Amino acid sequence: MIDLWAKDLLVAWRTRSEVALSVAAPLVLLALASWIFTPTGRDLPVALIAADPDAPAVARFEEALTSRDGEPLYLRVVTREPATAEHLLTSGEVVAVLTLPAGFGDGQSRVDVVTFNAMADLEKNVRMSLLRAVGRFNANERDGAPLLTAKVVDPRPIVLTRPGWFAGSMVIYALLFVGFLWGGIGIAREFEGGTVRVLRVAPVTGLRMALGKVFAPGVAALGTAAVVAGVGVVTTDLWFRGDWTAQVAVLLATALLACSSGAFLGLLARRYYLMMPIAGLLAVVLWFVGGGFSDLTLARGTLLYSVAQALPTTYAFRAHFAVLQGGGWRQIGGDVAVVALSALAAFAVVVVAMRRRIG
Amino acid sequence: MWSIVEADLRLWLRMPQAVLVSVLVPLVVLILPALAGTVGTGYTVAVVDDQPAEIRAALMTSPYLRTVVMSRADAAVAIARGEVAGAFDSVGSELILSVAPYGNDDVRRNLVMRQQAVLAELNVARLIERDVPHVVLKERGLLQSMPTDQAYLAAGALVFAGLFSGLANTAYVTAREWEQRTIRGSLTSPVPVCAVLGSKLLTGTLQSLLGVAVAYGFVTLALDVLPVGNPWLLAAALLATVAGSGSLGLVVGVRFGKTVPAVLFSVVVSLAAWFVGGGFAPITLEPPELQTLARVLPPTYALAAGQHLVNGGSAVPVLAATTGIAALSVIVALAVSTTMVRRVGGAS
Repeated sequence: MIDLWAKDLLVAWRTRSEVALSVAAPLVLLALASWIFTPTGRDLPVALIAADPDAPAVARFEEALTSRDGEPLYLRVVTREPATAEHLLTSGEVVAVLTLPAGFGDGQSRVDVVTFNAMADLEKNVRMSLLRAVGRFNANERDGAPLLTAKVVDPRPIVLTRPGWFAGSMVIYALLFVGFLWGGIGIAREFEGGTVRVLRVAPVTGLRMALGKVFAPGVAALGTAAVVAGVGVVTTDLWFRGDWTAQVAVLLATALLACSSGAFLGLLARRYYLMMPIAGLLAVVLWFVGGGFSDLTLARGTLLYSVAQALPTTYAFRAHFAVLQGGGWRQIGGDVAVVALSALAAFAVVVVAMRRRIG
Repeated sequence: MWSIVEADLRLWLRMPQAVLVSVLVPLVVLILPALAGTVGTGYTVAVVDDQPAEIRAALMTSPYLRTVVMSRADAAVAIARGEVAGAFDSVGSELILSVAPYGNDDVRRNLVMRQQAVLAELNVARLIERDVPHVVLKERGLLQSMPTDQAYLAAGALVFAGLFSGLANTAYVTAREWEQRTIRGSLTSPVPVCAVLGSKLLTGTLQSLLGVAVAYGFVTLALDVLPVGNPWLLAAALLATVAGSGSLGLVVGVRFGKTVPAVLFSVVVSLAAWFVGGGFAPITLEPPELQTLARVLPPTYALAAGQHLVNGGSAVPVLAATTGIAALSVIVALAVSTTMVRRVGGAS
């Protein structure tokens, strides 16, 4: 068992470009996801065309439109020229063109808006930002009429930012990706290189063989997760606030689940190049579906939510985030049990499959 | 040249796992739009029943909320358990949003924006009632029918299937020659180096077509996303995407000379191109620096062509750009990889 473990680690160490790319994958995904899906620090570009550009009400509307009160996404006026506005809207360089009529601000005024509706989610963001701006303008101009105001109640002293969330989820993603990849490659290499014949005559039981084949990628997966966690802690507001024993249990159970599943996939694929797309894309899909991209509370009642509940990896993400936000065994005991039992089941399947295919 | 393509394809067809992966990879990727599309833009929130009817109605008719009406006590329990993302209540002239103690600041931001939008509409109704001067929005979209999130993501995933397959398949068939040391035999044959490499690119492209076809079938049949553009133009765009990314795969395969890093590189690069190029959301939503980067990357144009041909819009300029870039990429990749092979003499 130890020999197999050491051999696989040595092979991995000799292929350093593969190790580097395995570590790079979650880091690249973290950088891109944080950069693309964090709205802070960017504005939605709009065009503002006014029939009376010098009217005081137009200036007040623009002020309300571009105000940075409240939550992003904020709006920014990039052009006031009709011809430029049309061109920029067609090419998607502005998200909306707003046209203010003559006499804007006198009585009821209608703002004509043409949105770049290339996607429902984008249109929703634009519309909500515009409604907020109109709400602000109307509140300023209300002339004493009683209006509703907003209040937000959030009991949390600290709220994880989205980059911090992504960094946390990338720790689990790294375990899944590297576990699938190296768990699968370790087995597939034996078949592809013909060394499986040596294993077949070696005096090792299926259990020991499986342990050796799962422990080596386990070390790689936990090492990669540690690197990702370190990068997350340094570059984002990620911090491990909860019970550290619970955190270790989540990570170990997830690593065992990923490596066992990877070994099983390796036994099925038996070609190591096949394992790379399988591992890469499966890990991304599980990350997305399991709540790594966004909290699944938002998706309750949808097919996505139902599918997520059937996947053990979802419980790994949930337990991990609960611990990150200060939770302990009481909150995550059930989730860890699901992950650990799934991992043991996957490992048992690997042992049986190894006995049949190799032992 | 044809004999090399034939031999490579025969080898590929003899490995059922390889053929299966070519088909399964796009299908796995398409799970994303299939599932993410069901979420839509609505967040599940509790609406307290004991509040004015006008406020309840405004919350319940908001297109951005999935509402569950319940008592104040039940709403508090649902929030604590994470059964809803938040709860809306009102006291006096305040519309109160209570945020569930889960999720990140982006979840809260989205909930607050929804609160502001509902508030704006409620206040406009109050101003109209009191005949006070106010502003209303009259909206229309640039596109006649707005693509759903599922349709947008499906088009992105379809192009990604082409990007990834072209890149990974070509990188693999090329690197395998070095790994199995068969490249020496090919280079000592009377076939020119350029033709040997061209055959690798052709093999990678042909292997990718199966996965792209399956992805197209899944998008149209399972997701019911029917392309509004000309299907032949869409086929041309996907072929150009495969050939263009295959060109990069050729250079990657020669450079690495090993299948594992070459395919791993393909996974990382294609995922990055999918994210940056607007596969998940229009690049208008990206930070300005990333938009600049996206506009110089060829996959962005392939993703844009796919979007226009599947969901509507002016496809001709981006399709022309995609095919032009693909043709140029093939020429450049053949020139670069031939030079690399000649320089190292087939040894890696």
